[in-house]
Amino acid sequence: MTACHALLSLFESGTPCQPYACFAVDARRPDPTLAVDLAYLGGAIERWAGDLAMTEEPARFVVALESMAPTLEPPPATDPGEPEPSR
Amino acid sequence: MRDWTLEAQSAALQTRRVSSLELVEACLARIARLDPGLRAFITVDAEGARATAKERDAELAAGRRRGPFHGLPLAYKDLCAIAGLPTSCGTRTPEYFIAERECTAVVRLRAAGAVTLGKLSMSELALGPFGDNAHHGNVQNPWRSGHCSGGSSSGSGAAVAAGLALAALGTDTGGSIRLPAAACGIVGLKPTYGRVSRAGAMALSWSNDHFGPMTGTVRDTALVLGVIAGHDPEDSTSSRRPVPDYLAAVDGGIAGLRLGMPENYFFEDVADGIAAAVEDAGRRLAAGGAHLVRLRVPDPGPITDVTGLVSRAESAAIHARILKERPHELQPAVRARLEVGLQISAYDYLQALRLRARMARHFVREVFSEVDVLLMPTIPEPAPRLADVTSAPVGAVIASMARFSRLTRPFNGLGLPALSVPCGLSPERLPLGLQIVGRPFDEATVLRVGCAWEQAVGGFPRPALG
Repeated sequence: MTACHALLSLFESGTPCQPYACFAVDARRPDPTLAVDLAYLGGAIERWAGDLAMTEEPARFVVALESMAPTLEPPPATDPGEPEPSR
Repeated sequence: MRDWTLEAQSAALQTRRVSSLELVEACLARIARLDPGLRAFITVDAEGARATAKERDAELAAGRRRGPFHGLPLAYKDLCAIAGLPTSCGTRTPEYFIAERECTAVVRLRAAGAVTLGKLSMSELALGPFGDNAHHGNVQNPWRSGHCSGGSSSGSGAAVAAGLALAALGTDTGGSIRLPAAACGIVGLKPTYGRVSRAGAMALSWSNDHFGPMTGTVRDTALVLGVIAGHDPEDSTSSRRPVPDYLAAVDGGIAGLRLGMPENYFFEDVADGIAAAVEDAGRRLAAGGAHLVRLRVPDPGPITDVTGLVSRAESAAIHARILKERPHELQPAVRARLEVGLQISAYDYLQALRLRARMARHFVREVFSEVDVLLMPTIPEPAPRLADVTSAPVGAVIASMARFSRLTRPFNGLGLPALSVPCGLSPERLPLGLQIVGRPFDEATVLRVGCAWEQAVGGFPRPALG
């Protein structure tokens, strides 16, 4: 029985499961099923997040995206000497 | 069907070659004829649509045009709150989602004149890439019955492909707009995170949910995006960045643009015919004046994993009530995927959220200093048979879900705009999809490349449904 099947059978039986209790975190990527992915991730996230700056706030994700966006092209400038076209 | 687009029918309405009521009746007739087999709709509001269409026709006769969607019949994924219509979210409960306010994207389209035909089927709680639904019927692929429509915006994909509505809205947490768009042979856009308000719709994952158009042409997608994009005070994540004129941008041509073809991940474990079709699309676009660039992109594995963990934690919290009180109502794979979220620690969840911006900055810096867009397949295989993905054990179903959506999920975590456009047919005559990914908030360039592709192939084919 794989770790994934063990977790799924616990779900089926309704037995409470402690976080990650059923898994040993392994540096190798195991069977590509979601539950096993999550177990693997506990360890991976610990490694990836080890040197995160304290300023990395979840709520600032859109601000981060905006800062990476191309600069908006300004509207065409009007020649001050030219009269505005009549509307 | 060639002119069964928003743009063509809007022009026909304005010149009185057709009325809104005639368009609505045509859609209702197609729904009556085709939907008993397709199962794209959960709720058809025939009387509401007819009444609104008559109003729009009277307004046009009096010289009033509400906006670019005046009199055009649209339909919406059944997780959008719309006054007077139930919102099942694909569950067994007809009124699963009750919101204090209507869905902002729908409100904006209605204010621009759109007529609501009804609510479209979806994977239960938007958790599934295939479009199977035990409560409302499996949505069938309009190109080949018995095959998946893709999901979770399954009804949106099937309805637009079959001409049951001129356009639809979908949502995308891991590919749920792009997968059904690719599987059904239509255009689907997941905009940049924050570009389109998510207010008034059931959430699956606040951090990864995106709203977007599903249409028959790239220009129609630009038209819809122009109306639904923009800041909404009801959605704290919606951006204040100005909305460009997308329709004006799509015809800009692609001369000089750098089109990136990833050498790693996105062409691995992809069916031969799909990889060849996308390679061919790149060559044909390059022949139009763009530069084709082969490059290695940062491994999408970590951002995909982070996105998955965040989605599972948030979806378990959002849908905790049905999970705890009525778990027997949920399809086994949906229940299993939600339950996994209960096991995620707050520490892992928050660290995953904090990692996103850094991963996005890294990806954007490494990729978009070299190219303007990325080209890749949307789906790794043509739409599989429904029987194959519904009859397997739960673990195998979840594994096949992960495989089918592996090319789309990275861009939910990264928040980048990603467009799926049709890219030929498999030997079984099932649609293939080309995915075009751009810089944050650069939907205009993504749409421009999509439009150039559509013009290069002389328009996208529709299934032969009569």
